[in-house]
Amino acid sequence: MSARELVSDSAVVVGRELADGFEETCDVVVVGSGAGGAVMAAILAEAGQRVIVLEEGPYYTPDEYGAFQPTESFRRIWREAGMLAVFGVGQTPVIGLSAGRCVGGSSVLTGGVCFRIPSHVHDHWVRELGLVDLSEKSLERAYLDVERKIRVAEVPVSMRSASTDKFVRGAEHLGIPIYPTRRNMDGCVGNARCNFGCPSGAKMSVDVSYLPDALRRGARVISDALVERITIERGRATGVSGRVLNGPEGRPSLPFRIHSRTVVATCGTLHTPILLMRSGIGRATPALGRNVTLHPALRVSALFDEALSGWNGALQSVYTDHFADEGITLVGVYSPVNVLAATLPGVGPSHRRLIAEMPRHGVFGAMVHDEGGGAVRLGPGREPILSYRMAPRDLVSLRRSITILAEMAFAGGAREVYLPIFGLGPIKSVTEVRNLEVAPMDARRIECVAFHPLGSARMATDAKRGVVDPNGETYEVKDLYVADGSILPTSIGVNSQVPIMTMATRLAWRLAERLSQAGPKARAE
Amino acid sequence: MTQGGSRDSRDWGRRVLTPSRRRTIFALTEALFCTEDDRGLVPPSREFCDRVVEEFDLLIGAGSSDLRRGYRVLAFLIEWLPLFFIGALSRASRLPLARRLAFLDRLEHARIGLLATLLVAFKLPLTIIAFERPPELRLTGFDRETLASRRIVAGVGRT
Repeated sequence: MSARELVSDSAVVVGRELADGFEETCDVVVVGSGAGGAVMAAILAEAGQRVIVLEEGPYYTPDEYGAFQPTESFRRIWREAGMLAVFGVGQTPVIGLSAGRCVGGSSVLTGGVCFRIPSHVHDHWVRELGLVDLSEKSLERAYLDVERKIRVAEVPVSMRSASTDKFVRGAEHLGIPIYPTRRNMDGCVGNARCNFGCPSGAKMSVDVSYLPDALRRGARVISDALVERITIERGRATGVSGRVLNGPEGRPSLPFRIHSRTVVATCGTLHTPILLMRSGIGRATPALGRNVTLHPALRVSALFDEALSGWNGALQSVYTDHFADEGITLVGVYSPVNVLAATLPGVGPSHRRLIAEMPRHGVFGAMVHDEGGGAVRLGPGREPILSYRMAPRDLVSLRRSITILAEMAFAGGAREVYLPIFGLGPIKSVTEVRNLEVAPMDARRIECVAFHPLGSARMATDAKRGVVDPNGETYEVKDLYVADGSILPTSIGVNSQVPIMTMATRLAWRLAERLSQAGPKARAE
Repeated sequence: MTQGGSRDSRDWGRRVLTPSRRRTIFALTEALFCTEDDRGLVPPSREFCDRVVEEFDLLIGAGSSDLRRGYRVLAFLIEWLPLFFIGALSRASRLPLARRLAFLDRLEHARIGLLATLLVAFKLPLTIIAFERPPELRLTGFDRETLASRRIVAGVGRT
């Protein structure tokens, strides 16, 4: 079987079609099927462990989600129908947050950009935080393994859209070096809607890369299975319990229970801490749910003289780390036209006039390598509440990034620039945008999004500063591991897909070794 | 196919808006997407507004109870803000179209960011829905049949 063979319908147990609850026994139960969970499942299954993966979201094949209109995609495979928001505290914008809720998790919704963790971040983790196992060198083998399996390759120049080209030319005029991104694609034709599911099935998300491997090696994936609690006996995790989402209108209904020797939580930065808190964990690890970083991001749109039809090309084909010292990474970006239309200023006729100019619009984005300031808390319902207080330095970087993008647009020949500031009309000169950068302004007028929540169950060398140890095992409960974005010790300043998968790979290798050393007698009966 | 696109057992099709909230969303849709001609503002067709409201209802319905509660509050606020914001002794949904548009315009330009965010909370999903399908999709200049159509590029394919 080839690496890109799709997960077959028969291989995934579709929870909402079950007539009864269930009780199962396995070696390892993995909660979540995204970038962390799929990697853990594949490697542990390969090592001979009996693995069950439980995914809260539904299962769709790539052919199915690739045919979704954007709103169908929101409704079916995005968490909170694409309207997940982070509550800004103080001078902080309200931040729209992207997260997947389906078999494959957020990897189905990424733009496919693949970065390794920058060297200076690795160095910080090793030297300042004492996490000696997280050096660039010690993760090299895991990086290579991930990049091979998800087919990471440089985006060719031919896949750049005319929209991206305009900003690249502007950057060249300003002396800003631009580099091609690397992405996990096979057969990308530049549909520019990766975030809503690839119509060409080109994105090597984990549902087409790692999960088929896991299934072939005997792992079982169950969709629509909401884990509510980790079972803990005498300080050890012994399984999970929850309910299948097949009640009226998808409400929790049939109960299930899994007995296992090891539990791996990979529900992501928002839901892993919630699952742990609901299971009574957190008293001895005060960092649980805290220190969340987001990489706050924005995009600037610019009107050029000629038609660009920016939807023809790879969604994200170039980047620059030229402003890394200021905590800024710039990345080329585009989105479906109706999504871009929604971000243009105006209401009624004035808004419609701008939408009619859409073919002449170019777009480019920026994200900030933030200090953190986010917290995940239990909400009144099933979903967590995420708040975020933006550090003053990060707000400065965010506003600075707007100026840089506008300057690139003007240098590339833009006639007008539309900034991500609510109620602001077209900007017609560099002077205007520079003045705006230093003018007093309510930060909540900045339109801000985030795609990489990290750090709510961070790895550290002791329980006072972190939730998991360098092996990914929680300090409070033995045999309970975390292997998703929540364990990253700090913000990384780049897209988090490959870093999460690489960390999960390293943890899975170690766990496989540990479980095999413990021997079959220790297996859950 | 239905208005909301293809349906199967995995799409619960849950609708959550009460009749009064549907009226609020309908009124917002009319104002957000009206056009103008020599005689003044022209509201979009009733069919268009009905489609947008229906799909918005499905979208909110796909979220959690927290999201639905949140939108109930936001819809209440935007419905009653004209009284405090433009001094109109009327709910937003009962304002004449021109006044409603002026209200939304004032909201978007509010110096207090949270007020502008209130508008964006509706403008964003409603615009995405409104311009997702023809004929409105065509107004964006997008030249593929649908937003899920593949781009055809000669010589580019899977390895």
